[in-house]
Amino acid sequence: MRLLAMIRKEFRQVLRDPRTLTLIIFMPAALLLVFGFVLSFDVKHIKTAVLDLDGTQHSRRLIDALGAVEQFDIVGSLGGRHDIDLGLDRSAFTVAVVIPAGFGKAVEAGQDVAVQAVIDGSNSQMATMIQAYLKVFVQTYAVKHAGKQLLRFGYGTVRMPVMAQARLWYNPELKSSLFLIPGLMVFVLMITCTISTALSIVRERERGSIEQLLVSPLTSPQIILGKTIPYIFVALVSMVLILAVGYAFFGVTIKGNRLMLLLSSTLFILSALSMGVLISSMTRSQQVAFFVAALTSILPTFLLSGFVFPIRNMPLAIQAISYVVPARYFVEVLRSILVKGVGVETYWPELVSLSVFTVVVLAVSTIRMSRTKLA
Amino acid sequence: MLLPIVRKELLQIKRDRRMFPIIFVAPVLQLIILGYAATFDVKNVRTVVCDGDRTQESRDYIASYFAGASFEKIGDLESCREVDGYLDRGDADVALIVPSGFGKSVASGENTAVQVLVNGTDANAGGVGLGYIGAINGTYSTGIMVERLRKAGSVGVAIVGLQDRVLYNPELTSRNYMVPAILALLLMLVSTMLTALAVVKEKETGTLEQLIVTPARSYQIIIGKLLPFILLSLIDVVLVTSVAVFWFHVPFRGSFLLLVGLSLPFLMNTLGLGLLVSTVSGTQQQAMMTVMFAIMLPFIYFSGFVFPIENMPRVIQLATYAVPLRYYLEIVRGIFLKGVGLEVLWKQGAILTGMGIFILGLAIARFRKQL
Repeated sequence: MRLLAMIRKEFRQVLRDPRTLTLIIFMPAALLLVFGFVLSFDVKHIKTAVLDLDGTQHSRRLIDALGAVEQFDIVGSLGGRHDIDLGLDRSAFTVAVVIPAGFGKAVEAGQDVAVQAVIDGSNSQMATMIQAYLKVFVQTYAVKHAGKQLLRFGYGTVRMPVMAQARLWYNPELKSSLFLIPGLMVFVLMITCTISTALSIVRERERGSIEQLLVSPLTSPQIILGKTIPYIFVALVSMVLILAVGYAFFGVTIKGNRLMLLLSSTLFILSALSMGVLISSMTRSQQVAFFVAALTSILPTFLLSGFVFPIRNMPLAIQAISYVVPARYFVEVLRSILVKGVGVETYWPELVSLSVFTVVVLAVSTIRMSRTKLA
Repeated sequence: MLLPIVRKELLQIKRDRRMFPIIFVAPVLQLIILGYAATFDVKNVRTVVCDGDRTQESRDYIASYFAGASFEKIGDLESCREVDGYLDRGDADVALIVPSGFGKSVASGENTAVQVLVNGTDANAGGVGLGYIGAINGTYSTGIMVERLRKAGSVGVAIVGLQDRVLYNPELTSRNYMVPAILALLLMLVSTMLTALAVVKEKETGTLEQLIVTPARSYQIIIGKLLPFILLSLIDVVLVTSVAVFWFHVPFRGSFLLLVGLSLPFLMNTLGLGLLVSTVSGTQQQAMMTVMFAIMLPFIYFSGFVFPIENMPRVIQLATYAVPLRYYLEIVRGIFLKGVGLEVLWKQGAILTGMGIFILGLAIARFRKQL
C-alpha cells in the first residue's frame, strides 16, 4: 500500500517534469534516428583508380569488367606509376589496379600473368575487404577467360570446378545496420535510463526532499522500488518508440518472441535504473552524479558491450571488465530476438547474468540507502 | 595586462586538485583502454566443419581453409544437423559443409559445390569471412582447373592472377587506424570540456564579475582564459602521442612538428565550441550535458571516427563537411600512417583555420555581449 502511494507520488513527479519526461521518452528514438543512418561498415563504393600500362583490348575488357562489379567505383585512370602513391597519399582513391604492359600479349600467348593492386591499408577493415573482393574478381575473370579459350579449342564449357554456395543466415543482405541497430538501441536506452534516475534521486537530495522520504515510514527497498517502477514504464514506452523507429527507418523487425522481448527489456531497463540508483547513493551533487553516470554508462556501453567492437578480440583483462557491463548481455539478447529470431534456449545464460547483476546492484544500493536512513 | 590573467588562470588550474588527473591522467588511461578495446580485426573466424565426404579431396579442400590464420576450426561435426545449433548460439561464425560425392566429382572432372553458412548477425565479421571464403575457394578451384588443363594436354591457356600490395599498414591492424583517431577525440574532449567548465564555473561562483570590473579589456580576458588551455592541450598531444608510439607501437611516419602545428587550428575550433557552450549554459552540469550530447556524440558519429564517411547517405555525407573533427582525423591519420606533409594536408589545415576563426569569433562576440 505504502509502495503504491510512493509509486503514485513518483509518477506525478515524473509527469510534472516534462523536460525529463521528454528526455527519457523521445531522446532514445531521436538518437537512434540520427545515428542509425551513420552506422554502417558496409564496404561499397570503393574508390578505385586504374593504370592501364598495356592498352590492349584485353586490358580494356578487364577494366570494364572491374567497373561493372558493384563494390568498385572507378574514379579515374592514371598516367603513370608515380600517380599511385600521390593519389593514395591524398586519399583520392583507396585502391589502384595496375594492368602491366604485356598483359594482352601474355593472355594471347597463353602465359600466366598477374594483375597488380596497391591498396591503402590505413583502414585495415576496409583494406581486408578490398583484398578479398579483388581476389574473387580476378579469379572469376581468370576462370571465365580460360573457359572461353578452351571453348575455342573445342572443349566443353568450363565453370568454377568447385562452387562455394554461401548462404548468409539471419541477415541475407549482410546489412551492417541489422547488426548495429540493436546495439545502438541498447546504448541509448542505457544512457537515458541511468542518467535520468541518477539525476532524479540526487536532485531530491540537493533540494532536501529526500529527507522527508527517509523520515517517512517507508523502508529503503520501498523507496528504491517506488523510485524505479515509474521509470520502468516510461522507459518501456521509449523502447516501443525505438522499435518503431528501427522498423520504419532501418527495417529491423522482431523475428523472435515478443513476450521474451518485453521481459528481457524490462530486466535490462531495471538493471540500468539500478545503476542509476547506485550512482545516486554514492554522489552528493547532480554534477558529480552526471559525470559518474556518463563515465560508467556511455564509454563502457559504447566500447565493451560488443555494440561496435567484437569482445572476443579484446585482451583478456578488458574482456573481464566487460562482464560487469550490463549492456553486454542485453546486446546479445536483443540481437538474438530481433535479428536471429532464436528462442530462449540460446540466450538464457545472458538473462541469468543480467538478473544477477541487477539483484547485486539493487542490494548494494538498498544497503547504502538504509545506511543513509540511519545516519 | 594579458600576462597576469594567464598567470591567474594557470594558478587556478594548479590549485584545483581535481584538474590534474582530468587533464593528464585520464587521457592516457582512456587511450590505453580504448586502444585495446577498439579493434575490428577479424582474425580466427570460428568455423565448424562437416565433412560428409571424407575422401582425400575433401580433406585437402578443407585444409586449404585452415592453412592461413583467417579461419579457426572449432569443431568437426559428425552430423551436419548440429550446424544450426552452433550458428544459433553464436558459437561459430561460419559452417563449412562438404557434401558426399565431392571427392568423386573433383577426381572425375565434374563440377561440384560445397555449402558455406555464414552468421550474418555481425555484418563486419560475416563480410570479411565471406570474402576470405570466396578467395580461398577460388584459389582451390583455379588450382584444380589448371591441373585438369595440364592433364588434358592443352597448353596455351593463360591463368590470370592477382598481386596485391598494402601500403601504410601492411599487417592490416585496426589499432593503427584507431589509436591516432582516439588521440584526436581525447584532445577534443579535454579542450572543449575544460574551456566550457572553467568559464561556467566563474559564472556560477560570481568571480566573472570581478574580472569584468578589473581594467583588463574583454579580449584580454578571453585570450587570457584560452591560452593556458591551448598549452595544456598541446601537452596532452605530446603525452598521448608518446603512449600511442611507445606503448602501442603505432607507426609515426610524418613530422611531429607538423602535427603540433596543425593541432592549433583544430584547437581554435574546440576552444571556440567550449566558449560557445559556456555562453549558453548557466550551470556546469548544463555545460557538460551540452558538450556530451550536442558536440561529442555527433562528432564521434559524423567524423569518420569509426564509420567510414563514404558509406553514409549523401545528405549525411554533406553534413560531415561541417564537422571540424573530420578534417583533424584526416590530418592525424595522414601524419601517423601515411607520413604526408603540408603538400597534402594544407587543405585540411586551411579549412580548419577558416572554421576556427568563424567559431571562435562567434563565441567571442557572444561572450563579450554577456560581459
